[in-house]
Amino acid sequence: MSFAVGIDLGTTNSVVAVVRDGVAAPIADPQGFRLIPSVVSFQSSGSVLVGRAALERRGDDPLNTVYSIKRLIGRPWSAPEVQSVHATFPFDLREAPGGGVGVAVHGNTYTLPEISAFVLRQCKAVAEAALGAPVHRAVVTVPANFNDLQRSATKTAASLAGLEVLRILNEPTAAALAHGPSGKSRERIAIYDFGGGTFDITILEIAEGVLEVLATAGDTQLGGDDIDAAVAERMADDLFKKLKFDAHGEPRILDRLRVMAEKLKRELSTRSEAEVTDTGPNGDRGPLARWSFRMTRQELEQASVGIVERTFTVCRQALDAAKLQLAGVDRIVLVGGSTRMPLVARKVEQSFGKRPVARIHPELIVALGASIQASLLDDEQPLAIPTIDADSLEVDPQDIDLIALPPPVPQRPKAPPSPSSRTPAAEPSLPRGAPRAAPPPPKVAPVLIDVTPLSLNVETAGGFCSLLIEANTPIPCESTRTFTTGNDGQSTVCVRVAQGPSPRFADNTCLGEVELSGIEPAPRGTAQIAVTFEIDADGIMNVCARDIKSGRQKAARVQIVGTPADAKAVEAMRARQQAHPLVALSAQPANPPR
Amino acid sequence: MSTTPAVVAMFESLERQSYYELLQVPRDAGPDRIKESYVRLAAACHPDAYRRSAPEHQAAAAAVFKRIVEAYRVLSSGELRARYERALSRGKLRIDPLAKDSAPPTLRTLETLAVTPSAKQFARAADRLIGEGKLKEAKMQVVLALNCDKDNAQLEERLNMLKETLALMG
Repeated sequence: MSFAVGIDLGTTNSVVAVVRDGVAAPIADPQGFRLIPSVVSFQSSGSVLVGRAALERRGDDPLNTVYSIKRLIGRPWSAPEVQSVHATFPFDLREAPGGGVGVAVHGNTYTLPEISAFVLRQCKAVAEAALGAPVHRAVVTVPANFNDLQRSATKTAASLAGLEVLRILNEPTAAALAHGPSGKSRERIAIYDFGGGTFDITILEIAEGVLEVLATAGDTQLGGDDIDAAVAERMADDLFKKLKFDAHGEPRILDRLRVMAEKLKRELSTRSEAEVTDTGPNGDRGPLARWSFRMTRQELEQASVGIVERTFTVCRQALDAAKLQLAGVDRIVLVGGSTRMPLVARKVEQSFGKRPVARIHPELIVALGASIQASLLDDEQPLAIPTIDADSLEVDPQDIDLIALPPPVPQRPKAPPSPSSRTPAAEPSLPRGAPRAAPPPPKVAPVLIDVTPLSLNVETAGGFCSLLIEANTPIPCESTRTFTTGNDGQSTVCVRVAQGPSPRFADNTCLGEVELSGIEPAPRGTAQIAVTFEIDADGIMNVCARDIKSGRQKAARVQIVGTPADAKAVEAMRARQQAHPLVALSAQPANPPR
Repeated sequence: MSTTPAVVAMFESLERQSYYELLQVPRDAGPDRIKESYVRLAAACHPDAYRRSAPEHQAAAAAVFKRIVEAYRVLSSGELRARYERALSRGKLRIDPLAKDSAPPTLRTLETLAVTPSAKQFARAADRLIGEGKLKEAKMQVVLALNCDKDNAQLEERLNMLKETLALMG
């Protein structure tokens, strides 16, 4: 027996969950922790620490301790999102071969999927230790707004970690799956997912047996990290005022301030005032050894309200795309660690005019949803809708009426109703031969109809875009375009593809070039190559081409320049993974769970 | 689990069905009816529902799902549905919902739509006049082109668009 797990691969923390005996539950490590910090620390011996042990090394060994790389994964080195932040990390980020982002540690340069693979290996190890059985398959979640390159890079990471990816699932969609139906016949819910590095809003309609995503929008550069940075700024000001020390000249001190800021922020979620001191190692603490910082919740809220407000601009985009008003949303579900801030819950309530729900622990709900999807997609598991384990439920007394686990679904469901029972028999517009009955789904599980978050475009003359697939189209979907040659006897055509909302190609994220080669020589304009662009259920683009004249599928070769890696590069990455054993779970420090 | 999934039958008749037939709704169905039918069929034909089926059934489900989505996108938009009605009356069972985006570059080339040499001549003149903003004069040229090109539906559609634009401009 092997298990399929759900993994929430987060910017700050990751969580692995599994469905056993019909119950979805997060998996704790041997020390009882369910959150696995997404931090990787390389030791000089070659072995690698991941999780809490690595987080503790962030102060001691900043050059070799890598974190928050989800913010950069799948982006080219030249991207503004990379250029604006890479210098703020204490470890050595640089351009990797192929134009991606790399991390240089102990003389080796690792790509970001390799770093994520270490985190996923730790998740796998935690699950295997708890389950006492191998774990080979997983559903891995990504922010809904991740583009093709970011999704592909995540999938590569999972493959490097020895996991077969059953699905790359959108985090808010996973949360909706865990949240489950409320029992009402049809309900529109908004998943407000504010994590460490990203913000997503997804609007879904839940009806019996179907979760339909109506629209999704997000900002992959907006998260709790930004609040930490804003608080760290205030701390740096204070440090300068009191000790005349400029932290901006010392990235290591600035990084320590961010760690302290995060701690302060967490404490202020439950208290109205808090104080932090640096708890780093004794040596090398510099000015922090004789300095502490106090802050009130009100001051924290002043520092972060602008960042929280930015989420509502994104919410309006999603509502517009779903053609809904704020009042059309029946329920708002909070997901992600940043929603623990009282300010966030308050602003959400003000904005939507409804009290948000946090029925399930907001830091566990995504992994739980992923584990449910894994059990539904996995061949080895029985077909039934799992329930959520009681420990993951977070009971706010005022939300007590909302607590309702998804009802167990009978093995032989009545749904979907046969259309013949609803549709009058005589319908003149329906011709003969049309199959009248909806095919009964071969399983009882609810079906998720997700969407692609971003429009897919090809470049046209003059630097503009021709739209192939619109944002918020249900996936899988495809679009076919016919291309031709511009010169006599031309045998290769290149088509540049991008994702994004702008009509100008350069304003979107270029996914690469589709190269159609081996075209039979012909006068210009006469060759016709039909290119089908597909967005699959993982939200990843696939391209296939067909020469219309010859009808041959292989007449044109498709090469996507800029996708994570070719087979050879993946093999090299796989070999590097094997060179780095993970430090065994039992060897990690045993602090009591908080 | 049934041995011959209904989705295979749907797949086999895919190219013969209108969007209405695909969604199993009458041609005068309202938005709620279309939506309800779409959700039911999309869930029933979603490739995930066929994960445990034979690969050819999975492929059939994927193709049917994609077409159901296409049908819903067209029929759930008033504008696209009107365009589809026009296409359907010409016997076309599918339209490209995004075609409007690529319309601007082709708008200038009525010439390419014309078939006979004399029609092409008028169409070329119309293209030039549209470029100069002389829509009334352009309309006359398209009418003349249509006289040469009997039953050129695309040219006729352009003429109607031109008329609509002129009407809007007063």
